[in-house]
Amino acid sequence: MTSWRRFARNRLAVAGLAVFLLLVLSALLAPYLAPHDPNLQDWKIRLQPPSAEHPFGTDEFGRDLLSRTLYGGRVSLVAGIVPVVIGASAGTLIGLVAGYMGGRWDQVLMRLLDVLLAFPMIFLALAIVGTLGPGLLNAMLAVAVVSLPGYARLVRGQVLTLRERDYVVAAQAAGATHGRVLLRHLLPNILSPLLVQATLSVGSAILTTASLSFLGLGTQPPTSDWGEMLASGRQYLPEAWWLGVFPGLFVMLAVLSVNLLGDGLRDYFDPKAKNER
Amino acid sequence: MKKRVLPLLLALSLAVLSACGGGGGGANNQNQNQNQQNGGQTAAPEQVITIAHSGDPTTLDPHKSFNGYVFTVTNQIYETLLYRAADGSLQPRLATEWTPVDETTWEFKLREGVKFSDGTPFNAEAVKFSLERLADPETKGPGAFIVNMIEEITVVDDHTVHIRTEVPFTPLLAHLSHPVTAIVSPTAAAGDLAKEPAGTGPFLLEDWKAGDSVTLKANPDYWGGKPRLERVVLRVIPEAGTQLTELKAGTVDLITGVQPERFDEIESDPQLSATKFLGWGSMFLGFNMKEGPLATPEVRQAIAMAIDRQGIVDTLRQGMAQFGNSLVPPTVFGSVENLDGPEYDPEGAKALLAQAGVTTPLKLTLNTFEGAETQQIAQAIQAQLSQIGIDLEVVVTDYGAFAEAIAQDDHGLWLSSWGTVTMDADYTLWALLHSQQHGADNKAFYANPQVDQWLEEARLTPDDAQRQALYRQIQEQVMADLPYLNLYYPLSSYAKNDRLQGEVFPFAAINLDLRQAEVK
Repeated sequence: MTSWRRFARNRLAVAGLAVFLLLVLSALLAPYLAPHDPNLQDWKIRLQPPSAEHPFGTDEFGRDLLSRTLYGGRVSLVAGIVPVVIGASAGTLIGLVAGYMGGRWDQVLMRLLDVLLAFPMIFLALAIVGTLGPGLLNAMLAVAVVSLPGYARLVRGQVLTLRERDYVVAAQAAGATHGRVLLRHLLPNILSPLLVQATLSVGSAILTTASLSFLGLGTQPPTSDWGEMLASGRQYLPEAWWLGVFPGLFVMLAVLSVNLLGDGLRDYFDPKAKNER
Repeated sequence: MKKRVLPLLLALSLAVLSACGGGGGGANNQNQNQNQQNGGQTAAPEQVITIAHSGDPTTLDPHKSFNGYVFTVTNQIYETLLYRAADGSLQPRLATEWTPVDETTWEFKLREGVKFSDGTPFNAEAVKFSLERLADPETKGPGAFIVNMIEEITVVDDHTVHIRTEVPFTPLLAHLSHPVTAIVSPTAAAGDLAKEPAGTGPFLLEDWKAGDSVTLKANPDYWGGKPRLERVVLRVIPEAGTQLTELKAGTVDLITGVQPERFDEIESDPQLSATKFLGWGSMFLGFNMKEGPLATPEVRQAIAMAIDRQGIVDTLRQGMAQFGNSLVPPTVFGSVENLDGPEYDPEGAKALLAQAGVTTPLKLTLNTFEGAETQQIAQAIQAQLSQIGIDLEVVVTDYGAFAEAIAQDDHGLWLSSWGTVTMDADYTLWALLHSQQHGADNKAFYANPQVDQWLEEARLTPDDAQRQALYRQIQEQVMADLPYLNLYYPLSSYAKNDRLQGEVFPFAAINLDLRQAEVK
């Protein structure tokens, strides 16, 4: 059975993958798909319900909500993926070093990460953005830092179990450098749990950056992401439901789809699950 | 996946429910306590109201603050010599009569038989003490400038004081109606007024939970008679949407600053009513003229022409604002009606920029502070300026960071609101325009010797018509020089549960008069 077919047995995961790809595609193609300029204000048509001209309606400045949602997706998806890449890379590096070197290295690195872990995620992210100043870049950095300990602990744990394995000991005995052992022997073997963890955290990264934007600390006007759209639409919610529903729906779809995908990947990589079904 | 989502949703809804319950519960407890205390009187409604308060008062010492959240509370506890009534007139409060003695001196007759809530008698010494305390640099009062023109306060007899200013100062009476000039008990001031206030006002502090609520109770010895309301609870609810929800739920009786879109919703509820009126506020755009592109008059002119101010008032603010060029609203003395200003003309603005040799896109920044209205207007201005080739970066921060950002001299444009709390144009025009105010509120670094001279003259002139003429000249000059562009005057508004009757709401929540109010 090919890997794809084994993965495809999990219908939900395939659906998640499809939806997520669709979202990415719609964001990439936003300039072609968006019917209007997302930042064009026309006050005469403000707060209009969905219509043929404006399928998602218009916002408080008369901007086309569909166009804004598509363009907002570019920001939100980047905000979901970039922090994960940064966080996972840095976290993996720390975890590898800590797990492999052990001893004092392990102690110092892990205690430092424990400090980060001691704070609630959103609080730490708020503190970082508060110090660096609001903005998308800082928000993403904050989310990356916040997610870092998770990866580091995961990788360290894996390394601790793997480093005593025969093939690692053999490589060391054959005179391989630390770098070679780490990169050629250890890293490939922890890639799968790492991939699962990373996929699952894309969703929470999207949510956290959206939360920061919602609180006014993420993207700054006129560029918008789904979180900022939700925040500015909130005050008009009683008369303009579409301002909350559409960006909210997109956030939900994005988070749900990557979570389904992550679950699917976890099952796929789980040796115990291989024989089920 | 279902298993993961459902508990999450449940947890979320529980969190939301408990948050709401917490808020409502607080108010209910309050009512229950009240019930127990009132004992048998079940038929009459309890005389307790709850007011939504947007921010925590940081102190209850009126001399140590210059902040509306503080004054809204302190103005119920303390009183000023004069009081600005809803019709704009100055009314007696702790002073009963005032007459000029000479050009620089006013005589004030004080109300007799008044005691502070700590038992200290209210007299001329207390007035002298309070105003000197406010002016004293030791107090570090941000509102000290309100009284810094006072040279000497003389106690003539127990109930007469003379207040002498350095030079003739016509707006003095208006200044003595400002909440920062509250008269405090000299005895209590030796302690900590910030936490244990003692004034002559209709209400006393009962309880203050920082960040949560301030509870006031009726002053049984109030000179104007004990208020009918037994208790006034000011609950800190920062968010406008939450305030409205609580008003509709009946857990709050009065909210201020109703969003334009909410009026119909409130009016449709037979139990609620909403009122809007012109207050003392203006919303303006400031230009730092010190250096950079904004130092060029054509650039300021072009920006002014590119902003559709009438459109902002009519569409974005939904009629919750009134358009005008004068820097102070028509309710304020010294406001100028029919003042000509830049007309909306984006094409003309573009041409003007080209004429001045400005290369576009021109990058500029605009600072403003968090708030639904300021953020909305900033985004509108950003979009409008983009049409004439100005690339405006909008920096929205909390008020503290905003004030810090524009306190320097390297800011560009800023969007801010201003309240002419004394209802006299001198208060605003002096602060914004006089060249002595560089580094203070003249953040445009505007300097026009002619305008300085007119401003000084207006302070010295006792005649209203002559003062008005000076303020017209000043503001015509401002329209020509454009250090500021007034956008509009936001309407003040409040909404209440109709069980509250008899409240008077002059211009702003700070002046809310509950002395005759009751629950029906």
